[in-house]
Amino acid sequence: MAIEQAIFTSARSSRSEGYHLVATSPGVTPDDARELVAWGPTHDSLAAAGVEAAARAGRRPVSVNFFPLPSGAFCVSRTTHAGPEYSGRRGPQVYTQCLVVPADTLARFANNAFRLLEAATAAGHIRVMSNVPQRLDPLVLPGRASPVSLSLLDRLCFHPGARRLAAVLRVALSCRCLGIVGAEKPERLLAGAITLVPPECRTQWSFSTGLKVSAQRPFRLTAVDDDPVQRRMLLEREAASLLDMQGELPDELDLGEGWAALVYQTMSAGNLGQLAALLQQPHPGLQLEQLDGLARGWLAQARSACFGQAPPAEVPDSTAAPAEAAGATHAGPLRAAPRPRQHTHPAHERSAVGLAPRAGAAPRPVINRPAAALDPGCQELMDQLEQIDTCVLEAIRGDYAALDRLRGLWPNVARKLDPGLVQESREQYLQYALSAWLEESGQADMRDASRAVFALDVLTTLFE
Amino acid sequence: MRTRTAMPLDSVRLAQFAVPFPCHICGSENTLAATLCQHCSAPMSIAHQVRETGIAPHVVTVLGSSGAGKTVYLGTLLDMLSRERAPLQLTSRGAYSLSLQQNTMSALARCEFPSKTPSEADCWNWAHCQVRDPADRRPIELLVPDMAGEAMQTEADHPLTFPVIRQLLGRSEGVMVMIDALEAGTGGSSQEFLVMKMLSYLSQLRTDRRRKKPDTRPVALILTKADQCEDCFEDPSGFARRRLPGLWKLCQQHLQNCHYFASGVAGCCAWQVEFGRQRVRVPLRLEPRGIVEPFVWLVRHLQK
Repeated sequence: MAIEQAIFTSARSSRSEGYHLVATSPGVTPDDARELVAWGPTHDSLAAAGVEAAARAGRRPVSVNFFPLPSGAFCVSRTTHAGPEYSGRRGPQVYTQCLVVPADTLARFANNAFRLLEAATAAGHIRVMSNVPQRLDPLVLPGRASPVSLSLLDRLCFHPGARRLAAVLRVALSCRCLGIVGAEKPERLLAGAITLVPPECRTQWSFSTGLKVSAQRPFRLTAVDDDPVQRRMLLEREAASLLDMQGELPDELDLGEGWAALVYQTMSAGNLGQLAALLQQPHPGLQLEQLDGLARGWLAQARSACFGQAPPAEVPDSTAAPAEAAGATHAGPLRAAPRPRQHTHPAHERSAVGLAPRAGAAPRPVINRPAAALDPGCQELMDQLEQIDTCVLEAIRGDYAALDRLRGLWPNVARKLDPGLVQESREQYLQYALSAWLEESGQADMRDASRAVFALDVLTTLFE
Repeated sequence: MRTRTAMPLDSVRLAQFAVPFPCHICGSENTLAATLCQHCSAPMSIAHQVRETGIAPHVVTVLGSSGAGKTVYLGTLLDMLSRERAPLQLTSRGAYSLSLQQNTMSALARCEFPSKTPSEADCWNWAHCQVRDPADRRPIELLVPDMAGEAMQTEADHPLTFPVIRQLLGRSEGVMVMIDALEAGTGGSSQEFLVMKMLSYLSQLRTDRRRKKPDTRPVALILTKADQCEDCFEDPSGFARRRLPGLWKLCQQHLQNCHYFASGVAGCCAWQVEFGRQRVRVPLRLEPRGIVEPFVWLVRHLQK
């Protein structure tokens, strides 16, 4: 599908003077055009910090912006300084090239505006035209982008680092509008934050990497100048938060128990493959508000699955050397972090006791693993039970292959086990399936019936 | 010995922030601490002052295309009226009202024109002032926003894109229309169409009840940059009839109380080209002509 485009800048054209849509491609609808004008940055709209940094580096300041349009498409735009102001007034001309990207085209690029803009730039479509024609041609952008790349995650671990990214995610997920002050490289920080949420959620964050705060452009994520007026303008918005990234982040930074904590734990432990695998799991219709709940489920599963891997008591800042500092190596996709094999690890005690449902709190999907009740001497049986644990977790999550493995494993293991232990195992798995279902139903108005079907398949296998 | 004292809870002090505070321009509710209206971006100081003084200002809007000279005219006007020998005495209400005057005059003092007004409403300058006419004992309060020409055009083309413009035009009791005489003199018609669009939009915003009556609001049509178009100064009305026939006819038909003026701020302009930089138009000297007259006419017609 073609990508329509428009140029919003200051010029004298046959239609108007000053800042207006100087040129559009034929497919831009009137409603979308109006929205492009309303969000369009005009004179002196680029953030001062970005302009100064670009001047020091001897290049043009750039802001990458992203917001939804009335037609259902999305605007991915790039704002920069072009030549002088046509009217002879001081100050440079602010030039914005807007790409009106249909939802399915953006989905090809994993809903990542940065990836799409990179592809468009590489294809030579993003440029400042000194003589803008009245009519522009729609773009065709072949190719696609993967939801997340390990090399990108690796770079993000180095800069801006797991702690900073997790802090951004933590605040961004809890407020309607987040301004980030003093980010050294705001584009990379925001690109990192966008990359670290599942593709389904990425379009829900409108953002700007280098425009001044304005009520006319209600971006959800925006880099803000370290200027009292700009700070105040942002904070006056409803449910707005400001995150100051200058200097070191406080040691007692509370990342909560949701998505930010998940990202921090996986990145700082160097489990980038695991994080990439989590981000790639499809979740149709997933909303940003559901991410914390989803992460809590995953964290609980991980604690159960790792069964003995304690979270590091004090994880050093990953900006130094994340993988080495955490004492872990980069694991391949879907490969769990190395873990001790003893089931009497403190982490198991935590999963069984520390995370038990509190009175009045939503139950959390945790398996009190039957393998834990075995005599440590029965190594073979314990291994098989651990395999069953993993199969149950994965099968309830929708993995058909795991369900098949479970169907083969369970009858053999059940024959060898004490009937009391078999009964107890069934109870634990039943409890886990119910908890997973209740947690999911508490997160969204729409329940995913397929999850219930998977859980029923698992329980049928176990109770046959 | 024990004494009993009553200590107010801190929460009581915070309670006042929970009470919504309406914007004077659009009426939407804001918090007490807001500096700009969350809906229309008008300064909330206006609403605070109106509440304190109990006097609602008359809204005077300044219309014109981008580059017509609205900011230069308004800044110079405010500066001239704030001096002693002006026919009207002007006192600014609040520090924010001085920004327009300060920006314009400091730029002109550097032999520069003030920079372009951004389209973003939260970047506009607003002049809230009290005007005292020696011929009339009662002072009047005026509110004059310096809106961007592009924003006005967008609002005229696509209503509700800039809600603040719609609100201001709806409340406008007097209008100043800026037309670049230099461009009109060279046969350019784009700004004529733009001004016609704005005036049509202005009359469209009158309520149905009021629309049955003719529009008697004072409308001052000011031909700017007239210093570079001398015949405009001699007969502004005739210049408009010859050079802006469409606008002339529209005003004749729909506006009962309009008048043409010519004005100029810079006595002479030139292009300054800095090596490796942009080409900038600069005023060589300041020679304000016809600045106060349109405003005096407008204010005296507002009072009637």
